[in-house]
Amino acid sequence: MAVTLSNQGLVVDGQHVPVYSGSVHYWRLERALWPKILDQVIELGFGMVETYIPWSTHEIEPGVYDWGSIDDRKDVEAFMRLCEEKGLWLMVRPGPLINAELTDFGFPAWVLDDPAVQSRTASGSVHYDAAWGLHPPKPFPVPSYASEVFYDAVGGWFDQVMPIINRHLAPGGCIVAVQSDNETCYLFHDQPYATDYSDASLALYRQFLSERYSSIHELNAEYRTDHPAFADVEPPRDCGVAGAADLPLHLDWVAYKEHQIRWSVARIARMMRERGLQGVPVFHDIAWQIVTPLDVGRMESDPDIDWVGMNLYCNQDDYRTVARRMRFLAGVTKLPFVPEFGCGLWSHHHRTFLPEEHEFVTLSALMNGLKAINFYMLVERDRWQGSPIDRHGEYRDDYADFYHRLSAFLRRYPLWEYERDASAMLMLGFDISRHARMMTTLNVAHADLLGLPKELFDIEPDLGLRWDPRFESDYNRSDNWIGQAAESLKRRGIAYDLGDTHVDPKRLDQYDTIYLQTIDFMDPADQEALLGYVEDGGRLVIGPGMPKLDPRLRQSELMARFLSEPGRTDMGRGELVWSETEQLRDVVDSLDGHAQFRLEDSPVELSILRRNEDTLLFLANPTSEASEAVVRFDGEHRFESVWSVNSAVESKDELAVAIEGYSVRVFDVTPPAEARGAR
Amino acid sequence: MIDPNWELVDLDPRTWRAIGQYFPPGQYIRAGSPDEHGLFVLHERGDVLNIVDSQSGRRGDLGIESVSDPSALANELHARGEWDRVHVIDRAHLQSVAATAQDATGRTLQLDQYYRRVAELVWGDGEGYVAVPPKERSWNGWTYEGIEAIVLQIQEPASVALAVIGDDGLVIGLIAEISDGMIRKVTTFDAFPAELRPGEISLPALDRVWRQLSDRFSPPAVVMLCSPALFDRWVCGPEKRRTIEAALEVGEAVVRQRDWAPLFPGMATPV
Repeated sequence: MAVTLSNQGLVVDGQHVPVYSGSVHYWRLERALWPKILDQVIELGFGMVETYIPWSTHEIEPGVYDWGSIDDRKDVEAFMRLCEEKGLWLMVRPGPLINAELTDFGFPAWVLDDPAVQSRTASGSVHYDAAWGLHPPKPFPVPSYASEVFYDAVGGWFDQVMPIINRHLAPGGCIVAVQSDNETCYLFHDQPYATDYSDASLALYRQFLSERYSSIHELNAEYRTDHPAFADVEPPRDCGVAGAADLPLHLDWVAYKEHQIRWSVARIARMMRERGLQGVPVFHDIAWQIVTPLDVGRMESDPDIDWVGMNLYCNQDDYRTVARRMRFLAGVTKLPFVPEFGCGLWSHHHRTFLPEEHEFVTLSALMNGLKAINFYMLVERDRWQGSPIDRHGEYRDDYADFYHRLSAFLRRYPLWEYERDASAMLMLGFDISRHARMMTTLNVAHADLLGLPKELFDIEPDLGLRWDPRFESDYNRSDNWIGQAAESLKRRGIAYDLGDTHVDPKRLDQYDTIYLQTIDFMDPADQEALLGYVEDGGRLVIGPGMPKLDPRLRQSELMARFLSEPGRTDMGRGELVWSETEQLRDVVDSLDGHAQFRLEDSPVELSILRRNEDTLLFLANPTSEASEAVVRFDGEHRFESVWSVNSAVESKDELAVAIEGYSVRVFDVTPPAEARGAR
Repeated sequence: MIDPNWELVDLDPRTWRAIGQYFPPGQYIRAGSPDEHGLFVLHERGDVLNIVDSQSGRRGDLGIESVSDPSALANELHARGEWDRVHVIDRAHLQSVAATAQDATGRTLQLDQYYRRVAELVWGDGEGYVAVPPKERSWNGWTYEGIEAIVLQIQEPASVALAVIGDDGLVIGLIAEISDGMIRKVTTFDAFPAELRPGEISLPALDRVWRQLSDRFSPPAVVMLCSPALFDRWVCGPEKRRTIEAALEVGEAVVRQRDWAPLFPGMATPV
């Protein structure tokens, strides 16, 4: 390929190109202002931009396209040429789904209004998207991503847009990456029984079952049914789990919902390639979900999808979410990438980011492993607020200041070349989350509008489990096993990435220790993969339970063959450890030594990024109150403050740092002057 | 009330942040305020499915197995004084609402109409969703019908502007263009050289805004300059009219409007 992925960014014709980018929506900006706007983008320090290419903006009537002949702002090829003239790389996102606060999310109305395209809810009604505010201007029918009629229409759009994209592919042209669809996930209705029950979806579901089971007899044996054929299998339209016998039907539906997303993103990627796209990676962006129906690990493993990122729109009081998402991307994906990093917000969001929030959230993400970033929207447009460049091409000075400083900082410290000091992974059990998400009767639209507590719809049938999947899978808690693992590692200053049991096993050998959430059940294939990690020299700590069942609660003992009670055992070149929640803190203390740099008990968060001999120390204060952090270490070091505050100090054994609320300090850590001289 | 293709441009971030604390659009259909202590009883035609306390989670200790009279149960629970609001919800009602709202006619409605329809369906049946105390039928005294009636009175193209001016300068600067009873454009003072000085709530300042609005937008219909405290009392408090009248008397607000403009009848300085 002319453009390939590395763990630092893109490689274009052999040259490394960092993904440091910002969104510019050409069709929403005065054509005469394009040159000035792109000059401002470059002056702000960016070498790459990104744009959607919205279907309904260009196909103004069925089969009638405006590529600038009617509205000169729609001349996307002129925009591409301008990027090439100015030396900007470009990422494009031709949909078919766009959002971008566009009417009908950028789908042509006549496509959505075809009943053969529309998704159906569990009750059989049309599935309208109408949640969370003012998606203008009308509720629209959500297309079924299983509908062949939908794909026929998408193919017609791609027939028009792909030749334009293909003419501008790198290295000869500016386009270095293309996105397949956008935040594909049932238009945010991600509850398992909310949708999609259209005929097309049910056909795909039955196809999925026929590939999962060798015959209808095997399915019948599993389901305890007597369906004559796969075509007779009806999916659950609500959670009807009363006992273990009901699990196969429901778990298969939940797995199908994951499959439909992965299958459709891959299919759309193939449709692009069938129309000549070659030589550049195809990526996808996930809105926010790290559990079913999204399965990031398996999506990244799909041969048609090169690269998966996850979007991020967070206010400053949501550091935990920022850190969690970045660590998850670092653990599961090839290149931790945020295709939409909130740089301003949609107009109906009520907590506009202030300039200092841009700074805190961006630095928090970078210190937790982010390596590729697209600021959405770097240039403001209609229905958007709070970007550093307005739609007239002028800087909003108080917002632009941060991006000027950040670009200068990244020229000195290209953080995509640094590695976070993560020696451990916290691994979520994918099937535990599946079980928890499956047990809901929230299958009606608009419950989200009413603001009802989600747990109101939870059900808890007695499946004879010792550990509660819902409690253990809640990664926001600190009192369950995974929460205790996180707290214990933080206390010892040990950095960790996040992952789940569907992560590519080849990624695991970079971690000394994996802390794996396990309860009564676990997929035997996932157990095999992790035992392979142990055989190869890894240390696997599991808990709170030892799995003795598979997810359908049939007897299945793999790990249990090696430990019959909490404790430790050597296996191959590695070690298997089982700890219940109460003992986990002591186990962590006994396994992992202190990190080189660690904090005294403090709300402040610490992160170390290294590049060869270079060391950067980040300290983030995720609270509103000013704080003093005491960093402990062995020996003497020189700390040069390289963000906001310019100063340098040599310290022995500890460093006290004052940090304002919601702010980040960054230090370039080197040996003391005397030692540097000697070296 | 809102043009499907309305323009929403040049949004000064600080204005938008300031009004965001008053108008969180994602929450206006909520059953209860997120910060109130609620009890939610979910049943299916009388059989209790789940009971959740918004602070402490599931409540299996209340001894409620069935719901024969939703209103009586909600009143009885609320009378215990433990919760700000008690909700008794029939899941079959929610399913019926969803199916009705998502029939084919949904596609013809504007989103504001659609949300209203959902709200009417949810709350229209007294027994399907009972809340004690009941969900307010207005937001701080403002109703959809009231605002729609005002907008509908503006047929000829006109602009309206609001400037909330604090001791440090402009806090909110908002402009809307309306015609044919529809809001066509919303913008802010972002690209509008009003040059209002801190605390400048005066007739000369009003003159400037009026003149500049005339130069750049449709003919102005109403302009109000006021203090942040007055804006807060006007938006959130009762007695809207009396609040403005009192503010005009003490110079905490100045208002100018066309005589046909409907927002401040009989109160404002005429043009």
